[in-house]
Amino acid sequence: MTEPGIPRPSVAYRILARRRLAVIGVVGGLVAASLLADVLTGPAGLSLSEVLSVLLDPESASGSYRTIVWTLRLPTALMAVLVGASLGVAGAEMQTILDNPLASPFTLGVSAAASFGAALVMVFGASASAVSTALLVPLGAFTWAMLCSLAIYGIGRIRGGSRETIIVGGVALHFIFSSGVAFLQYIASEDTLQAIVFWIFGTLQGATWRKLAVIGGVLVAAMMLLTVRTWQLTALRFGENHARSLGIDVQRLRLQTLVLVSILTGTAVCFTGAIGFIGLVAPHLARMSVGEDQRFFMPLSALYGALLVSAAAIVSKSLVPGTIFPIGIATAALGAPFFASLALVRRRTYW
Amino acid sequence: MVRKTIVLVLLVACVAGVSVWRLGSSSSSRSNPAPSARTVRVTDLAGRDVTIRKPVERIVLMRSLNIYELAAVLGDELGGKLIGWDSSLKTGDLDAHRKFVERFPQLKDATILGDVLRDTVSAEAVLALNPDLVIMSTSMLERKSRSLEQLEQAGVPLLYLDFSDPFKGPQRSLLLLGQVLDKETQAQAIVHWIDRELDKVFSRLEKIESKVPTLYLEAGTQGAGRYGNTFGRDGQGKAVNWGSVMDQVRCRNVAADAVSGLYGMAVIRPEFLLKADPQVIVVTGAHWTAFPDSLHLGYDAEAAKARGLLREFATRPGWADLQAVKNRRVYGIHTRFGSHVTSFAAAQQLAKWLYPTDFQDLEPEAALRRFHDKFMPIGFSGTWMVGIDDD
Repeated sequence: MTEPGIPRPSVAYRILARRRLAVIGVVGGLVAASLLADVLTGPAGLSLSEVLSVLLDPESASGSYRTIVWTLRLPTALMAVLVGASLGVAGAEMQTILDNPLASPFTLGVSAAASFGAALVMVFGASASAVSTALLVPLGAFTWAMLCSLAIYGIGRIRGGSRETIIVGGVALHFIFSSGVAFLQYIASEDTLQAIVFWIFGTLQGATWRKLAVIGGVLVAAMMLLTVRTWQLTALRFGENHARSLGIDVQRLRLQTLVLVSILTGTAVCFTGAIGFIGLVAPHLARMSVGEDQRFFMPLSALYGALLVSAAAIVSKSLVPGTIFPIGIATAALGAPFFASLALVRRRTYW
Repeated sequence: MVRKTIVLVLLVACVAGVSVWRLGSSSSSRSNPAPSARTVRVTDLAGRDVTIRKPVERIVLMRSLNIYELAAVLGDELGGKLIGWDSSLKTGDLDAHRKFVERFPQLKDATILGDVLRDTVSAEAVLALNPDLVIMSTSMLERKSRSLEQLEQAGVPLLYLDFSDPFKGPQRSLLLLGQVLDKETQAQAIVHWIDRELDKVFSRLEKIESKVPTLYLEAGTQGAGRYGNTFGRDGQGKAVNWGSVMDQVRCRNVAADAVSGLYGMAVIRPEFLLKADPQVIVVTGAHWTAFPDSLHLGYDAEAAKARGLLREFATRPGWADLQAVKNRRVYGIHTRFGSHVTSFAAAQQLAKWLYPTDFQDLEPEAALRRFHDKFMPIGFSGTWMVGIDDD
């Protein structure tokens, strides 16, 4: 029946799936390697064997080595991976539900709202309350990110959840919060200004195991909830009418995913500050590699996001060894040329 | 119709002519006043020639955190003469602000101007105050501020002081202020006194031959929860502020090579510090209004509370293993000592912390109190230096 040399559709599908799984495996391996390299490098100049022995046998290690590896390096390195993965997934789903290649978790003002919340605490909140800023700043950032996404949700519901309304409403919110941040920067004292600017650029410092548990928990929960909707989301990319004809409640799906993505983004950025670019680029890289099938596309977006932030952390560490360099600057500086070269080298359009 | 137009044109020409004439005359009278007994020509600390009309009655202080030199020179006359400042004293050291405003209630009505460093000063607002003198500092020079250019063009006398070297700049600034404000004797007395206090440290430091101790100094703005700025060299490779203090008091600043940048400040990686393992750690404090966790030192600070905050720094991850913490050599000092007339207290206190046996006899706090009694219009109070184990 079938012509020789061309495999039967079911076989071809299996080969394709296997190839896609292989891509995920390779990128996953790169993330693991990057994570390891991140833990191995640092200004303290510990040797490979020293780090490994502290990692494998923390009990017998010296106090300061144990602190360097287990309290400073490992949480920071894991934070890079988890935040990158969160932003990658958030960006992937944002582009999917809005059917827009320029969408990212930050398009709809979520990051601007988080920055606004953090800046608000730094300028006004802190002096008025007895609670430590270390707690209040992430709380403010998260609260405002949620308020922003609730507003987008509200706007979306009023107009039947169409993409255009969500995008236009989100972009408007983005500019409102951006001007709010600019105003707070204007009135802030110079020490506060420095703190705000640092927050906006993003930093992985201050990572603790507890924060990692929160981000990791939210990431896993969000990915599980998205996995349930895998086929619906994949169908959405064929076009809204197409999806609707398959019996999918597009408005519901879009708004639910929007909320999920906002929680994911809000959780990630409230601890690290706005790390831009990842949410935009990681999904594109994933799409180039495996296409739109959500079963592969979503996890690969997460892995690419993790890889980008982790690599940026290593690069910034080797460029500026002693002092803390805002990670957000490094991710964009590193990711943009990488992304552009990939997009230019490809002949086929993939969107 | 034609007649109407001609009248209009004439009218416009008249108005324009008059205003041009007025502008011309006012700018020429301001930027180039005829030398008389009532003007003085000085070279300020940025090397600019400035002509100032005397007596100077209306002073604008562009950065209110730089108030100490002006207050010491003017003494009780400060309140009547200072008519405009910025909000940096209020946000950067609320205690000092409260103290000055309490002593001189008229300062409550002093106009609050914008920030030169962020170019938010309105030249018009400064002109409206009709100041005889606008006090700047050389740290503002790098910012090419448009409004400053406008002020210069309008002939407002801008006088640059220099605090980049904490042990020499304040004295030169005091002498210049004394000359301009007709307080030369007072200024010389202060400078003489400060130099004597500094000499108690530097004359002896020269003779010390023991190993140079290592030091880490951090601005305690962010509190114990987050590492704050530490000091090194600025863009031109010059150590300023606390970086300069550390350069001069015979110690090795462990962050010196890691920190560089526009202001010579940066946050180091915690790991870097653990590896460097300094012998002495100093955290600077003040009353920063926006940072409730910061180390509070100054006129209203309580020693016990400050010590409690300082102890929190010692509980940062990994600090228990540092020799400075093990040997209980963790201290707090007021951040303003790094750049102002009170820098003698920084020199004495750091020398005492770094070389406890050599400088046993020094009493920096008593010296600071004497300085207030002798020269400052406000009295000494509060806590300015603190040790983790003081009683």
